[in-house]
Amino acid sequence: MTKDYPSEMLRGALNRKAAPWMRALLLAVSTAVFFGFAWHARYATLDSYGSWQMDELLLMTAVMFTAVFALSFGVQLRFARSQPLSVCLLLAVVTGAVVLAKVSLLDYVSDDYTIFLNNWISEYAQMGIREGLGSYIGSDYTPPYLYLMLVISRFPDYPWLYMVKLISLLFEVLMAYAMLRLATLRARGEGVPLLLYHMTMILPTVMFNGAYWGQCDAIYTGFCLLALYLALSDRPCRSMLCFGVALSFKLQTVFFLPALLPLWLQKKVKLRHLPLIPAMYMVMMLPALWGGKSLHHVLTCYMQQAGQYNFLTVNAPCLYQLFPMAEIDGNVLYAMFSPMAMALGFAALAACCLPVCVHRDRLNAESTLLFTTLTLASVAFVLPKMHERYTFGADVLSLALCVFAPRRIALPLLFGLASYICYTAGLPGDSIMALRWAALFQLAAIVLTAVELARTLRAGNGAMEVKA
Amino acid sequence: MKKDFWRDPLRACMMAAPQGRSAGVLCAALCAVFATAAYAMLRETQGAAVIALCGALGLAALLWGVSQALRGTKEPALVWICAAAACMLAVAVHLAMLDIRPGRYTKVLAPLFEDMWNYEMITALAWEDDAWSGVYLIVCALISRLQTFSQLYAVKLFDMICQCLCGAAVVRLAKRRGASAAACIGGMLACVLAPTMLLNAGCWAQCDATFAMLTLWGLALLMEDHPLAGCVLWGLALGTKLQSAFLFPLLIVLFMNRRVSLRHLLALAGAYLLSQGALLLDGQELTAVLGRYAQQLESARGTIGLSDHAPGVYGLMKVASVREFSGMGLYLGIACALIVVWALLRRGQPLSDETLLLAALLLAAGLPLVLPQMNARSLYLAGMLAFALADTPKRLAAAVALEAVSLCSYMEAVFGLTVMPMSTLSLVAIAAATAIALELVQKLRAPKAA
Repeated sequence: MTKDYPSEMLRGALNRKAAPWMRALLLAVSTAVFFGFAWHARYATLDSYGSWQMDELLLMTAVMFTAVFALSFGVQLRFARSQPLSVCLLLAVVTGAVVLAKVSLLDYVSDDYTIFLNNWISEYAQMGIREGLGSYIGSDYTPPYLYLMLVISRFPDYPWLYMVKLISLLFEVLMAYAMLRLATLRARGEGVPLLLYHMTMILPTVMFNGAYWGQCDAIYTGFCLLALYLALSDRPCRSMLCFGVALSFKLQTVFFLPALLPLWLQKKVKLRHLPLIPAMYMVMMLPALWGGKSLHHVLTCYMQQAGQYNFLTVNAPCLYQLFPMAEIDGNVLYAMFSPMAMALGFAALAACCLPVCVHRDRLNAESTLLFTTLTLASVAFVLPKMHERYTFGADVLSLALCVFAPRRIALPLLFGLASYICYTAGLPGDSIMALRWAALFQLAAIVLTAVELARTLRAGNGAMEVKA
Repeated sequence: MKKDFWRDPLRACMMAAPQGRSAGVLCAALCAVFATAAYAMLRETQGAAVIALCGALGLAALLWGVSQALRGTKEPALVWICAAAACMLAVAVHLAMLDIRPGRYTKVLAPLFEDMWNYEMITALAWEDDAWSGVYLIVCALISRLQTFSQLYAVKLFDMICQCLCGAAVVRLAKRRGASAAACIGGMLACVLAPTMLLNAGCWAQCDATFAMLTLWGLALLMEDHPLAGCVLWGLALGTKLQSAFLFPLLIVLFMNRRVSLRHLLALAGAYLLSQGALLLDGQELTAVLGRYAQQLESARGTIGLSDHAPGVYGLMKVASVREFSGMGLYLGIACALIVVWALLRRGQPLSDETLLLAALLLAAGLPLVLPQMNARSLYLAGMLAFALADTPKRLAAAVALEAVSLCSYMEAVFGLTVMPMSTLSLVAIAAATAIALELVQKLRAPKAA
């Protein structure tokens, strides 16, 4: 017997590889513990409800966010099969802390929620399921997101704000999982992908986008990132289906679609796979069609969106922040520059595609991700009508680039800072800096990404790529 | 040899390498010279002998640091005397600030000492108002008993001695990771001469050096495989200030690396409780004693909001609910600390001292940027650790950035002077923390030893 028996015993237990039953037990116990924390968390929105309802509401809220924890931790445990118990315990605590951090932000009510979502859900609450599916409430949104609002409306006595944010949180788990899988394209062990999972969950723009603001950019971004991973790991059909689902949720998916070019050049995707994207889009529209929406509407709702917000920019970290926005009327500026801006957007896309086509024999996962980040950031940098959240994909994906080279940490920092400055312009109060700084940070990040892409293409060797 | 000596005695003395006893005699002589000179210069001041003695004590700590740094280097006496002169000047700079009467002393400390004086010692030691921590109460209660010596001087002299001991700890930490003698002495002098270190007590009557000294010595002892002493010091540091807990996540790593065991952790808890002993003896409940910091945080939430002139993520927010973001910051802080621990554990073999120090610096510099209710002094410990590590351009830049950010925060908190907007300071601090994190990642990615 060693001198320090209790410590050795504890160390031995913690260093032991967690067997499946141990992981299941840990999941159950940690979920129960998390439920305790979720139960005792402060939910200010519930204060407006009568005290007689309080216990039920509290129970439901605690159960909902405990489910987020269980899902998030379960995903990690499923991946981290060879990790010792100590790491599994650390993962449990980190996951719990991250979810509780998000839960702390739930009570903020954004203008978008008050003006749009809350009213739509109220209207849906007056309707049956089929009627709701066929109605033209929130018609500039695509039907799949409205399905989710319809589901929320089935809970009339519960604060919908929490449910809207719950959806964002659930899809953040999907997005983080996609990042984890993308990391496996390079990293051999389980540690780096898991680290990336958590970094994604606590990225400032991710924290603000879903849990605070109640926006849903994590949905399409999650599916797009998953699609990228599936394509890069030679599962093109599933990849296209994911792109189709993402497209059915948000138009910003088109910023990810240029990634199909390097994927096609690497023969990861073939022409015959591409029709799966519109096919999946149509499948996602079936409930709306069943409800009575016209085919014309489901095919053209993005056209309606494109006709709105006639400004060069709506708080986006883009080139037009350097224009005299305060001195000249927004509509005048838009009229003057929007044709040029559209042309510039396509030119930026073409400019990004050119080196990829030239160095087509040197493409690999790394250059594909760099190219995708570059198009996500640069096209939105010059297109008109961009909002502050449209570079969300670049904010997240740039983090995956650090797995290939840690020096690239400057990219998520610059992209994240640019986005965050713009977020503060969209949230109450003044922005923390003039938005032209956001544009300059974004530009610096774009240039650095381009440099990294050029460097990778020059040195790239597809044959050396490590597969998942 | 003898002939050379008589030909140029000064050169011969200056070029001789003091070792062992001769070095000790040299240091003692220098301390005596300093005490005499200080007494001669301050003899008009009340308590000049005590001030001179305290100065000599501080100098002794610094000279001990110098002797540690120069041990085994065979550096001549000239180098010793130059280093000693720098140390003397550092102590002299602190002594020169004794007469500055900060607003905090007049408004907070002086009334506290006066109130304490009106009560018995045990009541003073267990002071209930404002949830002061145990060790700090001991210091305050003792100072409140001083009648013939200026209490203001006592606060500042105590802080100066602690800061000199911090400097000595920094030498120990730097030496441990194999830094050169120049880097060790440079780090030590920065600890006592950096503007924020001078302003902390000199212009603000703060006493952050107390917890920093305990934390740094605790870290040094833990790294030197004296876990019991290290844990006891960390327990006392926790009894002094909650910020010392920034480094506690390292205990998980040290435990898993077999450098700390459960009984040492129990010793840490015991030392903490011992430091709060007066509160327990006074009849306060254990829950009240353990919840003292929670009480401090609750009160801070009500008075300062999310941050009190502290750089960090809250410096990048214009409008933010204290309740929402306090919760977020606290949980994110826990998550970030554990992510660092996890990264260290992933390495899978005992970590080098340099890696441990880098991790300590990352925790000390990174957590205050995320946690809520931090103040302008939140990077105090990080500054000292950065000085212990600053021997490459990148690390030096990080140390300078942290010091500059702290100084600007001090200016805003003490004098109401905005040198740079808090958002800019926050970005610089975040950049410095990122650079440290990258450095740590590089260390962890380096090939494992055979």
